Formats: sequence, C-alpha cells, structure tokens
Amino acid sequence: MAESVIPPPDPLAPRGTPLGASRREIVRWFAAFVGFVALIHSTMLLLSVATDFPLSKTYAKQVNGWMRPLFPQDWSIFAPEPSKFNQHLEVRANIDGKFGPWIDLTAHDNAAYRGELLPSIEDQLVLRRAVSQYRTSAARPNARQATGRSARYLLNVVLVRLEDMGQEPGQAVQLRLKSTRIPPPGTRSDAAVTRPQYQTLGYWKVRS
Amino acid sequence: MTVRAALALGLDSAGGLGRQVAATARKLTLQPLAPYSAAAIRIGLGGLYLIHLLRESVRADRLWGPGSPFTADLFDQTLKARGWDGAFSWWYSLLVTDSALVFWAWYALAVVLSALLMLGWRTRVVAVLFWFLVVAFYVRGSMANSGWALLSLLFANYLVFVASGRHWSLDARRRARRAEEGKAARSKFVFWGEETEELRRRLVTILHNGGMAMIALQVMVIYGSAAMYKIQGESWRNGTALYYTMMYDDFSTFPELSAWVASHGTFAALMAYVTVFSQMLFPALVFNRRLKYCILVVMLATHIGIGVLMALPMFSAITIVGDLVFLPTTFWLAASRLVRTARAAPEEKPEASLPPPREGADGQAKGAEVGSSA
Repeated sequence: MAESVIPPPDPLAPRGTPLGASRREIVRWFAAFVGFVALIHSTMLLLSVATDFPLSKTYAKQVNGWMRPLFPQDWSIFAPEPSKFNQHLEVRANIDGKFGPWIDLTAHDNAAYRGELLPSIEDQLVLRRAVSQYRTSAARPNARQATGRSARYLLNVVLVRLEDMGQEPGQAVQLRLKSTRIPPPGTRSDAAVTRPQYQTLGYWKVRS
Repeated sequence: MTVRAALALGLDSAGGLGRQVAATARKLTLQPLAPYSAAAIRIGLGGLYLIHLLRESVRADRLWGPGSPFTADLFDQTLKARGWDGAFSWWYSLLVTDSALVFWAWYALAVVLSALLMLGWRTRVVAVLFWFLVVAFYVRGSMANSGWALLSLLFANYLVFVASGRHWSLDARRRARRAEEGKAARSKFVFWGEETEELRRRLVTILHNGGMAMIALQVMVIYGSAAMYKIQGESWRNGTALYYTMMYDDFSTFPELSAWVASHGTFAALMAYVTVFSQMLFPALVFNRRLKYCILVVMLATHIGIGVLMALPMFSAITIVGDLVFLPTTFWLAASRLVRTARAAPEEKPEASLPPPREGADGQAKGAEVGSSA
C-alpha cells in the first residue's frame, strides 16, 4: 500500500482562517450540540442491540421511541440458534364443502428464485416473514388485535400466491406448517428422522 | 523523586493530554474525515438502491403498491398499533394510495433520485430527498423488510449529514471545471462575507464528522451484536451452525452447492468459527492500520459467500459498502491511481517515478481515517 500519497486539497474544506469571537462561539456550541446528539444516539444504539441488558429493559420505551422507525436494528439472523427445521407453509382450499389437495406455497416461492443471483424479496422473504409474524403474534396470550392483523395479512399473501398458481381459493382456506427436521451433521437422513410434522395454523373464510 | 516533582510531572502530562484532546477537537472542526469513503458509500448506496428498485419493479406493485397484501387498511391499523400515527404519519404513508399512477410516480422519482445520488448531482439536496423516499419505502414495506432494507435506511439517514459529494461526483467535476475557467465559487463570498463562509464550512465539517462517526459505529455495532447473539447459541459454539444454514431450502440460491458445503463438516465448522470470530474482532481490528485490511478482506469474502449461497445478495452488498467507511484516504488515492495507471496507455508510466512508500509519512492522511478517531 502506497502510504505516501498526499491527498489533494479539498476546495470546500475550512481553510483554518481565524474567526471572530462570536463565530467561534457558534462553532463551539454547534460542536458541543453535535457531540451531545452523537453521544445520545450511540447510547440508544447500544442499548437497543443489548436486548438482555437490564438498563435496556428498564428504558425499553425510551430507546424504542428514539430508534424507531428510523433506526431499526436487528442483526440476530441465524442466532443464537439456527433453526433445525425446514418449514413450509401448505394450504388447501375448501371449494363448495370439499377440500382440495394440500399445496406447498413455500416450495412454489423457492422454486421461483432458485439459481437467481438477484432474487426478488417477493419470492425470498415475504411468505416466510408473513408466517413468522403470524406465529409470533398468535403465540402472545392477549393479542387478539395483532393476531387479527397478521392473520389477515397472511391470508392476503396466501391468496396472492394461489392466484399466481392458478388455484381456486374457494370459500375458505386451511393453512398448516410442514416442519421437516434437518438431520444432524454426520447422520444419515433416514425416513424416521426426516418425516415431516404438521401443525395446523388456521382456517379462514375467503372474502370475495 | 519528590512529591512535588511527581505532582509537577502529573500536571504536565495532564496538560499534555488536555492539549491533545483540544487539538483533536479542533481538527474535527477543520478537517472532514474520510471524504473518499463518504463518496464510496454514496455511490454504493445510490447504485444498489437503483439496482434494487429496477430489480423489484416487476413486483413493486405487490411489495409497496396498491396491489400489496399489506392493504391500506392493514397499514393504517399497524401504524396506529406501533404509535407511528403522529405528526409524521403523512410521510410514512406517502406510498399508500389506490392510484397506480401516483404510486408509480413516486417509484420513478425514487429511481431518478437513486441514480442522481450515485452520480453525485447536487448531492446534499438529493441525499435529503433520497432519504425522504427511502423512509417511505421502508415503512410501507415494513411487513417484509430484509437486512438490506434496514441497512439502506440506516445509511440513507447518516448520509444526509455527510458531505459525500466532494469527490467522484458530478458536483466535483463541475467545481473543477469552474475552477479551471477561473470563476471559483465567488458568489458566496460576495453574498455573506469570507468569515461567515469559513464558519459555514466548519459547521458542515462538524456535521460530516459526526455522520461518519455514526456510520462507523453502526457498522461496528452490526458485527459486534451479531457475534454476541451467535455465541449464545450451542451450534455456533460447536461449529454446526453453518451446516444448518446451508441446509435451509429458504436460503439457497444453488441447493446443490449449499449441500456440497454442508457435506464437508470440518470446512463448514471452520467457516462458522471464522464468521463468529471475524464479527467479534471486527470492532477492535479496524482501529489497527494494517489489521483492518485483513479483517475487511475476510468480511468481503464471507459476504460474497453469503450473497451467492444464501440468496441475500443485496444485504451482502450493502454491508460491504458499509465496511468501506474504514478505508483511509491513502487507500482510495492509491486505488484510484492504480485505476488510472491501468487505464492509461501502456507505454507511459509516470507512476514509476514516485518515491517508495515510507513509514510515518502518512500523518496527514491518517487523520482522515474514521476508525482512528471515531
């Protein structure tokens, strides 16, 4: 690395010419203000990522008020523990009182971006996020309102995909989660381990 | 040594420390830190957002537009539930509209602003407008925001405060052309006097340095916290975590390639440890002038791997762009000289006459590194 390169002068940088007392005062106060805001922001930033830290819990409201929605922080992907399951969302439609076959929506979305170096969020993220948000809010004991919202959103996401696949949604749809265990490394993926387990998520009327 | 002598020595060194702090503080009002890194981040963010918008344009209606499963009704309720329906709700719900025409007008504006930000045309104004739209896109898409969306929003925030148009921009080119023609930006001096212009420049510099310091801290926080979250997990400690991430069918561009990596247990475990340790050590190593290059190369390699194998190319790319904040001005100058040399005709090689690199001769440029004073 050539460390001896001297940067060319920046024509817009301060020249360092002396300032009068009042202007010097302005510089000082402004520097103090920027430094203060930077300090507050750094503190909030650190508190918002240190979720287990007692102070973060005590001041969760203040920290959230400062950080959201402009400074979201979420760097815990695959941590602390990556999931040991592949989870697929399956849907079947109730058409005139008769259930159709189960349709694997996750497989549909995954197939859409396989081999693509620049996948669309729509294929790679939307369905997975909709499912996880629904499950999070449904797991809360007293969150009917939130369940209602995330459930309706999930239903909309599902309906859009059914339409893409040319499937009839019928009068109602049933959703279930298919979880396939990833065999631990070094073991054979025999059928007993990788037999999928199913969890019913819900049964929704389709408004037409 | 008498007590008096010791006290005098202590006072002396305390005074020295005070003078050092004062000198650093003064420098922060006079010298914009890492202006080339700022330009690189501007180009990276603008360019990536442009690619993102063009790539998603086929799905934009569903992601942010009138055809989104996150309907206007759901959006309003969510805004209320999160307590974001205050004074800024008009801004957050900017893209919520029934009219495809209005939506696509905003979309087109965002495309144009991304391109202008990348090119550095009227950089400061464009950076503010760009940020304004990025926030609107972020909140509108808040049901499915990836790490890429988070990071692009964060950098767009900080870029508002940063003087990112000083180099490698249309602004810089226009300034250089004007200077050649001899009519340097004199109008301002006429308008409010030279001393006020100097004041303005110092305030801009202070703001720039604050913004760059925040970008640097943000990048360190990303790696530091990611490492802290990981080491709490059993599988990151025993090295099997990467195996599982390679086995996901939600995160694989090329399943066969991922399966191949997963089938090499020792390699996968090594990579898992490299991931954790590089992230954990990152905030410390970037303060070292030489080790920072090592850690940045490791980060570059792991992010390329993540981008290709795990179907997260935009996230990887924007993280790489964020890492650029730690590259010193000397690096950027050497790199641009290399590019110029490579571009120049092979027979003329004026660079050969430059003196060899010297130790300690980089005092001026070192001050321009963010890591050394953040």
